[in-house]
Amino acid sequence: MRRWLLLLLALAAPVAAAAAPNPAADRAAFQGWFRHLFPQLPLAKYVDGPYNFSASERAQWQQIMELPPYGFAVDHGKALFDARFPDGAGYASCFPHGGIGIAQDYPQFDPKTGRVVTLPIAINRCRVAHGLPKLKLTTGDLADIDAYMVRTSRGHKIDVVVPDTKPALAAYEAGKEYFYSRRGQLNFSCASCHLQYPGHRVRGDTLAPALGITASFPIYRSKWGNMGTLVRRFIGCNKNIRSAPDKPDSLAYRDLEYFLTAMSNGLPIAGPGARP
Amino acid sequence: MTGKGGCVKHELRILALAALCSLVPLAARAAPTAADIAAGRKIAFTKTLGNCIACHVIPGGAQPGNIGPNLTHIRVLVPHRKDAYAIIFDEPARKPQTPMPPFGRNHILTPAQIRQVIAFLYSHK
Repeated sequence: MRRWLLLLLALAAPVAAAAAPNPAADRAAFQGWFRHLFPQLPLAKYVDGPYNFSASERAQWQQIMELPPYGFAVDHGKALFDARFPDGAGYASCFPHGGIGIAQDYPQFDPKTGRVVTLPIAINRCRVAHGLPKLKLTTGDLADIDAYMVRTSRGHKIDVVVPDTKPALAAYEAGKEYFYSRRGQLNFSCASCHLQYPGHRVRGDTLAPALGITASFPIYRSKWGNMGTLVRRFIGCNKNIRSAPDKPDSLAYRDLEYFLTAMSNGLPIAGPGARP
Repeated sequence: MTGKGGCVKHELRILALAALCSLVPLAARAAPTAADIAAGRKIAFTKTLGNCIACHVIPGGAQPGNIGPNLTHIRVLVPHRKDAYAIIFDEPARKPQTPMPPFGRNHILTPAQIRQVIAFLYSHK
């Protein structure tokens, strides 16, 4: 009986160790999977998403980029960013380095609220701190401010920190759980498409790899005809698989963005982006 | 004695009924009509219905995806229609890692619609 118990304990120990959240190990495995799929593709190139897999889409994109469709959004976002609040302060006062070149450090875990804060949510927090109403998190002015701040961060390596604390690791794990869980009537997880079948096509659309997928947001999507943040895309994905979308500021989407961006640490910020 | 005889009769009746039940759909499935094939085609190519073309190459379908196998030669890939029915109804039950949605289990398509899709797919020689 004792021997059986010992054996059981011996078997359980590594399982318990493996179950402890380990973002660094997850990231090594995640990036290793894509290296295995596409050994020729340098890591930094993943930020170009679907354009790595379709020569015709890449050619069209390169033409489009001669006059990037997000140009107006960046200019408008800069004007909004530079404008003063009624109390005389501005967005720059809410961020380190005056908000310039910092997008690679988001999302962050806020120990005070116990929640993940994405860059768009941080922009809204800044507004609330200065007595202004929140902006819509999916598109419009906030996506434009986001586009400007991301533009000033282009080329900076993504550096999402998951503190070694219970609540931060719990948020990270919740995001990971979301990414791998099947949902909706069509029964897809994020991983079903963006981990298992990157570079394949769903009808005419090329599936972007999960690695580097956050680096180009916000994006100007031709299908939308305007700018959209990452949560706008999350909502669209949920609808595609016939799953009830979460709220733009939900913990579910915050945690998902946290996990997904942390997996791309080391890759350069490439946003704002343009997608079909 | 009479009780036993009644029981046998009852069993026979059930058998006859079971045989009839299995024959009726078989007969119905043996000869899909042109209307079935046309309905199946619509289901396979329409996003809000089966949307099979999103992942599979199918003769006559524009801009197919390439996640699932090419179904042009489905007769070679899946010789038995009952296997095709099982795959469309609930492929994750057979292969947990498949991206194929469980069209029957999740009520995306009705059993009749699944049979129409099969009629269409197997209409390609």
